[in-house]
Amino acid sequence: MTPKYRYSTKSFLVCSSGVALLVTGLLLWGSGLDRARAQSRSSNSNTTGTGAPYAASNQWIEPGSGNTLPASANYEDESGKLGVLNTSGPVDSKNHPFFTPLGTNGRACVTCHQPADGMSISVRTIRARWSATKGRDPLFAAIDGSNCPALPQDEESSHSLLLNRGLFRVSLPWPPRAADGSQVKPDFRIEVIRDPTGCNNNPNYGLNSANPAVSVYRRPRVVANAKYFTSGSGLFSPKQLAMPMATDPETGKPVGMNMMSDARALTLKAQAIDAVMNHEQGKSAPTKEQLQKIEEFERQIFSAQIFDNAAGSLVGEDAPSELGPQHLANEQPGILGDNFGTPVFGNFDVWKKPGDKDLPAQDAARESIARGSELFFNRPFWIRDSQHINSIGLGNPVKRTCSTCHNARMTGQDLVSGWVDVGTANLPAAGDQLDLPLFKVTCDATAPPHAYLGRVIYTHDPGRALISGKCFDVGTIVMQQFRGLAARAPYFSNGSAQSLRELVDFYDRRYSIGFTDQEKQDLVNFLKTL
Amino acid sequence: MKPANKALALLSVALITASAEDNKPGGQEVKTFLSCPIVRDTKTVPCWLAENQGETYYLGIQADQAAAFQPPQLLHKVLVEGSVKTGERICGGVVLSPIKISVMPEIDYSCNLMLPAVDEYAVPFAERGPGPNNPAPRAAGPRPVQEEPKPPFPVREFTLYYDFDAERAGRMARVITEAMTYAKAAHAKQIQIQGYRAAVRLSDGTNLEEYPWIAQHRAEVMAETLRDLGIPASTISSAWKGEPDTGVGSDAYLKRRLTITVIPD
Repeated sequence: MTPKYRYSTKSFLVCSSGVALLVTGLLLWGSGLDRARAQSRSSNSNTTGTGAPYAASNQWIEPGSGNTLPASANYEDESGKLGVLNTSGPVDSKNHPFFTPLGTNGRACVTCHQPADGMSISVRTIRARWSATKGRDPLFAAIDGSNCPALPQDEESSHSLLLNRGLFRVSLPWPPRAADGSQVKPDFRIEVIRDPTGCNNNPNYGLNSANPAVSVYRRPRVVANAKYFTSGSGLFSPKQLAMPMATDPETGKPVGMNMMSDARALTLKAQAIDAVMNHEQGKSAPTKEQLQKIEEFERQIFSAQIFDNAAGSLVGEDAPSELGPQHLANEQPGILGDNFGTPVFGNFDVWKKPGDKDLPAQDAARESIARGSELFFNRPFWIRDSQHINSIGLGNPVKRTCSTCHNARMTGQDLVSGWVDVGTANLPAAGDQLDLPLFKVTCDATAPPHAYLGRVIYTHDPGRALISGKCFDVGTIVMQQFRGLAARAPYFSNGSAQSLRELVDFYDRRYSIGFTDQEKQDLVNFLKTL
Repeated sequence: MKPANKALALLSVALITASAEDNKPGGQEVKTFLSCPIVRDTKTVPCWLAENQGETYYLGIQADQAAAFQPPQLLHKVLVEGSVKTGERICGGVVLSPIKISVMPEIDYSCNLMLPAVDEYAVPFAERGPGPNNPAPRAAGPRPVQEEPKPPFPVREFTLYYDFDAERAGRMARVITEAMTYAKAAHAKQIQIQGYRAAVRLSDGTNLEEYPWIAQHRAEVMAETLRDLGIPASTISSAWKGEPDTGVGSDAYLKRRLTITVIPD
């Protein structure tokens, strides 16, 4: 049966310039289309199911290719289409520091933050690049695109964490260093229990090297919708109980401390410097002008799912209230969404009731999504033993909902300083994942312990503790935003959920929620629309 | 007297003493005890209980982080310091009000009791259920600007109170802010931090002492906090008192403290 979709004239015009601009974007961008990438995905028509045009999709953006990124573009993903909106208009990537290699290994920011992948990068894309380039793409640079630079780089197995989980190596100094470069005195010691990549015990890269470092493996974060994860308010972090929030050294204003898996970079500029010096192997930091341009680009780009193959347009008149990138561009950050007044992802009531009897499949999909939204927003369960959730005054356990923690309107992060331990990195909740390093953390006898794991913790990634040096931060990871999920699997900072179903299953197990299969599917269907 | 009898006699004296101390002049009996918390589910939000010497006490209900009562935690004992509200029971427990609780930092796996919801117990007074908040939210926009202190600037002392064994004063951000604001406005030449360690006399007559290092940790954490808030490190000095001050009855928590003395230029 050929699917039919409802749509409205608003449903596909995600930029004010409308069709002409989109077509222009298509023409401009078409020349940079990477054949291998195009072959790796199903061929793409230039219309949505509504018959509306959209810009060229399924494109790998080559660093330095010099093309123009359209003001608005839709990209096919596994469940529909992702919308990417540049609110400042088409972006000329020629010599643009986000798109131009600034270091020595041929990578640019865009290498790991691809518009088609929700400004992160999916394993599907990574594998396609491996196939297309036989592993020679700068994406697979030895420094962090392999499990360890000491491994033979032409072997696929040396890049297994990137190819299987989408993980890049992040090497962090030990003991930790503060933002000003000073050494932080940790209140714990760390041992390598298992080193499947060989990097943590390596004489050149490991804990006992001349520059002692801990190698952890993490997914690239989404570089879109930045106003939401950079905004901060208040003097003190609610997570750390009267710990002052960090401030932007340029403006003196509080920052969100919601950037990167461990919040080690406080501003977009600081993150860009970190990325250029480490991931791009830069000889020097970007110039002031380059940093400014990178930040300006990152602040104007918005990304979210815009079309669902089963439910149709996500941004039409009869669609839920806050989906699609334009709403992200319009709304204000810093608003609490754990309430009926300003719900996290808006109102899905319009899809709760059956619609056109001629479209039963679409109606069923929409009703499922609405049920999933309701489960996310309003289904209580017992949240327990989670550091920086239960330990900050809510009680252990606390009977609440997903939206209690994923409370930032529009993105579903925590409003500020959102590093928590839900069990993705620490054992036993994380499970022993044999391809990841395993560390034993032993905290000082006088250190405030992790509230639920005590002073001896086995972890795949100490998370924020590698920055703060605090035992109570071991295994805490900054929440990721929920937007563009369908375009950028796998999930969690260590890529341990290959699909949204695995993500839902993790929470179901972790908190003994008891979702039915239908409820899990409803949640997956809902998450795919974000 | 045999040692066993001597011990019993001492215990009796202690219990009598404790019993006397439990009764405030106003007639409200103060209960101070260490116990495993118990969470009882209800049709709305859970309520929290604790047992002591054969009696069940009601501590409070789940609410928001900003609420006056922050619930205890399973896997941790809780220090309860509360005044008995005669004749009233909630969720099957004798009401303690006012009440202070401290979550003990060390893990205790024996503290893991969850009771199911039953019709008999309800908390209709809960301002918020387990779901999203209702009605409309409090905007997370700019907060009210604190009034700038104006001269003259005398020496001022700010006091923070802590949960038992806690090195961070999670509920005292307002006082820290006041101290910071005053120090900046007064161009303080010196800020003296003094950390204290306490003990509390429990209702059974025994003393419960805080970690030996807690006064030092409180002082050091506060010094770091003030530096992070922009107070010049050169103006901050820290000291601590390692010997515990013992508190008794409803005011025992006042001993778990830290003072910030701001000495203006």
